[in-house]
Amino acid sequence: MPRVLVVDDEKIISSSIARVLARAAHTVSTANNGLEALAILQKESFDLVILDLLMPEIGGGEVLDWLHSNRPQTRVILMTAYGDQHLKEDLHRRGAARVLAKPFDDILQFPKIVEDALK
Amino acid sequence: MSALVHLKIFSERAEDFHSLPEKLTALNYTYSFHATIEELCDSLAHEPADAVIVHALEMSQSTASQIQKKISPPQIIVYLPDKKIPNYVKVIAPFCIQAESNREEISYVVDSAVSALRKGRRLLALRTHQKRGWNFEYNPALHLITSLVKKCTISEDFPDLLNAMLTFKNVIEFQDSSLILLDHRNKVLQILHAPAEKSENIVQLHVDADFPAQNFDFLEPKTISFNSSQEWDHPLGKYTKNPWGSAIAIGFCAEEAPKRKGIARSAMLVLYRRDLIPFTERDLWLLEMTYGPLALALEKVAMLKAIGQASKEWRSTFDAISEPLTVVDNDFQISKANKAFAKLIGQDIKKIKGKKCHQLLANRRTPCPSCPALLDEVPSSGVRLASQGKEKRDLLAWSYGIRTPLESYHFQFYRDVSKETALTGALIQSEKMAAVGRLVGAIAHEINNPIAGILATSQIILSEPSSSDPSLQEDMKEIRDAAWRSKKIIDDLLGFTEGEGKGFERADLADIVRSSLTFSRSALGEIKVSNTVESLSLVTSPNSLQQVLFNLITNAAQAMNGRGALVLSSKSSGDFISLSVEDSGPGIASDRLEHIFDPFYTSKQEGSGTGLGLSIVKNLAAKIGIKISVESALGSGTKFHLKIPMKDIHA
Repeated sequence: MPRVLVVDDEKIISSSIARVLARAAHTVSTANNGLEALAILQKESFDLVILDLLMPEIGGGEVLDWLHSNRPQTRVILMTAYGDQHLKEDLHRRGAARVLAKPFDDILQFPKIVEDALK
Repeated sequence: MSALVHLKIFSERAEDFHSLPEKLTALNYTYSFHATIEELCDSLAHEPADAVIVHALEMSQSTASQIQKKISPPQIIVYLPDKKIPNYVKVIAPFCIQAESNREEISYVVDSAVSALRKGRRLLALRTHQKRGWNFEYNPALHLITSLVKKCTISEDFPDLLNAMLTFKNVIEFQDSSLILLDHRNKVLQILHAPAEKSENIVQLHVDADFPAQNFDFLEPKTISFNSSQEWDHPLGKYTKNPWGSAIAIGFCAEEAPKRKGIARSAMLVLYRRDLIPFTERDLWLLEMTYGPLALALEKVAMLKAIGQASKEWRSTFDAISEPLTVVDNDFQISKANKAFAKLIGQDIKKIKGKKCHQLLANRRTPCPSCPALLDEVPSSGVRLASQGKEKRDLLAWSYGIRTPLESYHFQFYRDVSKETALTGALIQSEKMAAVGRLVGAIAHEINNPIAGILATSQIILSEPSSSDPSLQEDMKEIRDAAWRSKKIIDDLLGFTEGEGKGFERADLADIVRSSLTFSRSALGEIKVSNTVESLSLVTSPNSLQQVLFNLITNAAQAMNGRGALVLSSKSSGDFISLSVEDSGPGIASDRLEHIFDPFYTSKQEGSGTGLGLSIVKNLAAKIGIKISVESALGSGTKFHLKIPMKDIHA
């Protein structure tokens, strides 16, 4: 049962993802922003973190870097509205397993995406 | 007195005169011998004498008359060898020298004779002058004076003027004087010698003369004296003239206005007379009166010359100024225009004169409302001229008014700022576009999350079987589809505004075309769009290609003025895809076709385009390896062809 943390400041997005993943028997937690996420990550361990890039206070990028240094075994998927090629490359370099573009084509694909990322 | 006398002695035999020659020499008279009457007369013609001493034996009525026929007849003095004086001689020649006369007696006779001669001459002249009287019609002198004055006022030809002045000399008492005109460097300008005088003599005299210094006050005529110690050769002996005669002079200042001191003299008129009797006050007065106008005329000539020169300089300066310049009168008529202005208008300078400035520049029948000539003060940045008609000019104008007692006129200075305006316009446009891009990007990003949320939630709800009625499912579908469309729009917007020059990547041509159409939707309005572009995978810069298509589509929309059909199609052939954008607009004339990609070449109304659009498009396309060509004819629309390489141009 993979443990997944979804971090996004837009509640409707994080709850949608959580709903879909829960259906696929994942244990899902959510956080509203980077600060909250880091607090949770320090206490608990997760197999996968789904991060939104642009968030108030501490953004996805910083969380990614923290995870990369402190929880190298945790996989990270980043979500962003920016389709910038350079950004994607940069995120991958910093440890992201996958970069997803928002809005998603089909949110119901998420379980598969998670599965692929955990491989 | 005695030193100035020149005598001629006539007798067949020189020895007849006994001791006379020695006595004459002792008295410092100069003389020459002549053996025949012909010789004497000949000599008199070339060299006048004050008196002729004729031997009594040669004396006769005919001799006397021959001598007196000369223009300046000398006095006749008869030499009597003995005491007996025949009566007839007393009548013909009241002046006699006897053989026994001593020096004093000779001197007395000669002096009296010469003196009487001169007085006689003057009286004659005076009488002649007086006889003519002051009746204008009968007085050639007055005629001459007035014609002279007239000539002085209208003549611009200095030599011509001089001739007129010199002619005048003969009319009045200066007949027996020689006249010489000198410039301010004492160089001889003209000589009019007395009939009995030789021109060379005058020149020689002048050379030897001792002239007053430059700063001599010449407000009034002056008598001057001069000395000549030159020795002259004569067939009958050497003689000297020392001093030579009397002279009066008047200076003319024609270059500067007379000052208190140190008048710049530009010419001096000198009247010489081989005469012991000096010129009188009356002579001086006459000189001043008659030659006075010459000074004014000279001044006028010099001034006219200076004005002509200044005028020439002004004209060349006027023409040399590279900005358009005109002189306009109070009725807006152009009285002067420079070459730059003619170039601006595109007409010959000759055609421009007399036309109204607002007619030529702004194509208006009435003056421009913003006309700078009508303003009291023109702003330093100039005034923009509002031109009407087809060929609109973007001009800034300045005006400087000049008022003279007779008239007032305006100097108008223009600057063509159309290029600047276009550039500024283009800059503003690109700035606007950049700002819009940023704004759109910001909005899109903001909307992104909620849309993503709506889409995701609606997808989830639709995937969960629920006990609610099917109509809710339908509604949910609508929500999902609407959210999907919103996502697509945002995708397009974000893809478009990400700017040019992004990297090359694999993309689908149909997607790119579709998103370009999406973005041009508002520009397209009612226009029917037919898009048959195939889905084709190629390596390109999607953003740049989108920008190119966007520009072409909006251009087409503008050409069609909101009504018509736009056709987008593609055809692949080998390594290239041929994409075409065709409109049903008015088309482009063949002579304009070759210029439409030129910067600033536009047929649009002012304000709706800078003419840079197509040049940008061409450049941008070229940057990503795409060639653009155009096919058009008046009345049959316009078709742009894009030749897109299939393979990565960087590979």
